[in-house]
Amino acid sequence: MFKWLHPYAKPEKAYELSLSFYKWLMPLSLIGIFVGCLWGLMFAPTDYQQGDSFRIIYIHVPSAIWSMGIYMSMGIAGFCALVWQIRLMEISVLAMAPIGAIFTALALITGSLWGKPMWGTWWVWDARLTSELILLFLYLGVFALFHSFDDQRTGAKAACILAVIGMINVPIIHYSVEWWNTLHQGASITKFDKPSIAGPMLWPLLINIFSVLLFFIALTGYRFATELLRAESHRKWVINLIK
Amino acid sequence: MMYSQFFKHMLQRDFQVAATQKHEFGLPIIFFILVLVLFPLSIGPEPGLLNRLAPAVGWIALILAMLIALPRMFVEDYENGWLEQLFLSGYPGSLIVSARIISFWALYCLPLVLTSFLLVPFFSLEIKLWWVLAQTLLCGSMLMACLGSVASALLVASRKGSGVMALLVVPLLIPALIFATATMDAAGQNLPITGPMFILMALTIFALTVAPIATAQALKLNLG
Repeated sequence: MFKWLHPYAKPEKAYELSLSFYKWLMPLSLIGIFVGCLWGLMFAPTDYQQGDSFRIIYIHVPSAIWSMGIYMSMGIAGFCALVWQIRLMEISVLAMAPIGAIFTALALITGSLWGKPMWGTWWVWDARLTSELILLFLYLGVFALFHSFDDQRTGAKAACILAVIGMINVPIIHYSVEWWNTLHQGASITKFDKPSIAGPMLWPLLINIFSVLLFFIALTGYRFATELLRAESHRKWVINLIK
Repeated sequence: MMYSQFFKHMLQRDFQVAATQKHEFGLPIIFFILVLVLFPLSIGPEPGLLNRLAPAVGWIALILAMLIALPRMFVEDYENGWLEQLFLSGYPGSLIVSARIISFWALYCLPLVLTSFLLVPFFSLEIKLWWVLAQTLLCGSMLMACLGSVASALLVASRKGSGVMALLVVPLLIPALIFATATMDAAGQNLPITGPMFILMALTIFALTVAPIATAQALKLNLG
């Protein structure tokens, strides 16, 4: 595997690889999201309790799941960057941070839109909502820390350190907040049991979760390529590329 | 020099330097008292309400006062070159940093925790409850000093860093706040407080173990 990975330590190769991720996965993910949303919004059966308003689940759940997932992958990338001093990993951390922040914000907004008709309020101080909000602050912290340095390289390394510390802290925050207050419905898919959501409703949700993951990878590929070009703008291969 | 001797020497030096600039330590305490005064003025002087809010006010005031003090943890030694010399000396960075965390805690946090006794007359808090609050504040301020040392080391060279400090420290501090509140609730209802208190202590010890490593890494990064 390392023999296969090795050439991608070179910026040119990494640039090509990330752009090809973007090229292939972007259309695929858009088709997936389109199909999932169409199926979920038009053809999935209406919920007997929540009526049609449950359909926001097809946006809310994928973005909430991947908001946590992106933080994990960001932390792992930051860890690799610090331990093996891989510069491209630092750039990937910076590429992921704003995307994760947007996903988190999206999960919070759709969640509060869903909460208004169901719970009768836009916001409650419930465990999952709170830990999602804290997650948003962690993302903003990584981003703000990067921008408070004049030297990009130092800023990127500092952001990596913070991402790793955040990764250690995310489970602690999650469980302590859960212990503090819980109102949100329990997990319906990820528990180790038969999913407590009906098949016809579940399928479009799974399609959406998967295509949002692809969407995230494609976006990261694009942002990574752009950040790489900016960081290497004085190098020969970039100059050749732009000509 | 042995590591233990070096550690003692570092602590000694920090206290000696602190003794020459006494006026610096008053500022966070005055800030702490000002925050305490703001609460009764903004929500009204009703004793029952103030009594209920007292532990929360103590915690908020401590967090705010420490956010004022934290940026000073490394800045001075970074600017006059002492830190660079220390890191060149060959002693482990985490040892240097943990000495600094402990001296910072003793110089800034301990006075704040003692000042929180003002909650007893101001907010008509019972002495027994204050004693529990002081224990949670002792643990919590240690934890915050650890987290703050990482943030302070990351931002040591940055000119625009002061606003970022709160964003880095406060989200990571939330578990401690939750368990401190749980302890205070239990104490208020005369229930045993050992459960949440022990978790708070465990978090503190965990932070004290891990934070110096991250801080040393961050300082090395800024020293270039």
